[in-house]
Amino acid sequence: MKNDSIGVEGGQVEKEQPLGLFNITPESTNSIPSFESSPALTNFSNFFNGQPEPLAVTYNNNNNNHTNNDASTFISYSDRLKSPVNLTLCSVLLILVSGLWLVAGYFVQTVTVIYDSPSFLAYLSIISLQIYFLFIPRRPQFPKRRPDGSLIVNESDLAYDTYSNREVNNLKFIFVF
Amino acid sequence: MMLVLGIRTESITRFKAISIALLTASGVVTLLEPLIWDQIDLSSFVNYGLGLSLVGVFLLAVFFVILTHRIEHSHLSKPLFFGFMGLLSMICLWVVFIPLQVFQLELIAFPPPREDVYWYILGIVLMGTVIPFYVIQWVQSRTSLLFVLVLLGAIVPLHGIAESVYFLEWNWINFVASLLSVSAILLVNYRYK
Repeated sequence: MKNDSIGVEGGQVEKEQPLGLFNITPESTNSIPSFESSPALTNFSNFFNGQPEPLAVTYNNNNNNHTNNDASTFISYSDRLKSPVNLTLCSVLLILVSGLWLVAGYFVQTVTVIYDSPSFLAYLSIISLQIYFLFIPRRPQFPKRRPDGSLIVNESDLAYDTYSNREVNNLKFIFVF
Repeated sequence: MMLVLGIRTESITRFKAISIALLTASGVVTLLEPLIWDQIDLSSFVNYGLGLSLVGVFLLAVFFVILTHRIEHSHLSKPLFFGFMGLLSMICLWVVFIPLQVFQLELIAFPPPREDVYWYILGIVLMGTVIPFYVIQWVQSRTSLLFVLVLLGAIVPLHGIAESVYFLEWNWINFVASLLSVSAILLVNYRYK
């Protein structure tokens, strides 16, 4: 992975002048993009955040020293891309999803000829969304963190993930209740 | 694109911006296909359904971007958040359909007792919602929203191929849209590595 697409990496932060409203930085393997935004952008971002965002956070690539600042904007993003992501697998999966949507669209077209009831299909859509949302918490597939904030990339390391497990158990209790 | 850039869920480089532009161009070409290829009138092209579709797509995009921003830039637990989202949808969304049924605005009509209909419905539920959403969330938690967005543009070339095979006709508009979409996919893949 190249630095220019990741952003916060390399142990230093190089500040660059924004080229326009959006902070599009020059492509270079030696330069590290800055995440300082224009005032207009920061204000827009603060509208959603409700608080000012910090500037770029250093991520030291050499000694794997995480700056444990969860309030930062990009630390989770750079962490995720530091984890061993198989982009080919992700790409193939998403292309398969596109194919599934295409086939599902064909099924909708076919079934509405036989049985024209969009309301029932809408109900089914809601039910399937509920299945999805209820399925996700039971087996979370998100990158997990240890109590010190570092990322767990190995599934055998899940013993550290007591916090998430506790929350999932609480959630199960809520649904059972 | 404006929202993704605006609330900074993504670090934007020139190549990513070009990818988004290519994907947008692909979408526009696909949208305008009936006007160019089928030569239909503009008045019949711009209708109520098209407007609703565009509004729906825009609101879905806003929902995903704000959701991603909220759950990634806070201490909120993702499993807990999605669990409560499921709970909320279970409690709230059904309520809407009760008055629709009572006042006979939208009646529930159960499917006919035909086996193929049930198989189609099961396919729609699994292939249209459950599996895609799960895979999208899985990939997005490991890469980024922009990566997912651009890769899902693969539906344009796949649609072009399917239409060519199904209708056995060559459509140069589909080809242009597919070319733009594939370029965006290759570009975003290349720059993420």
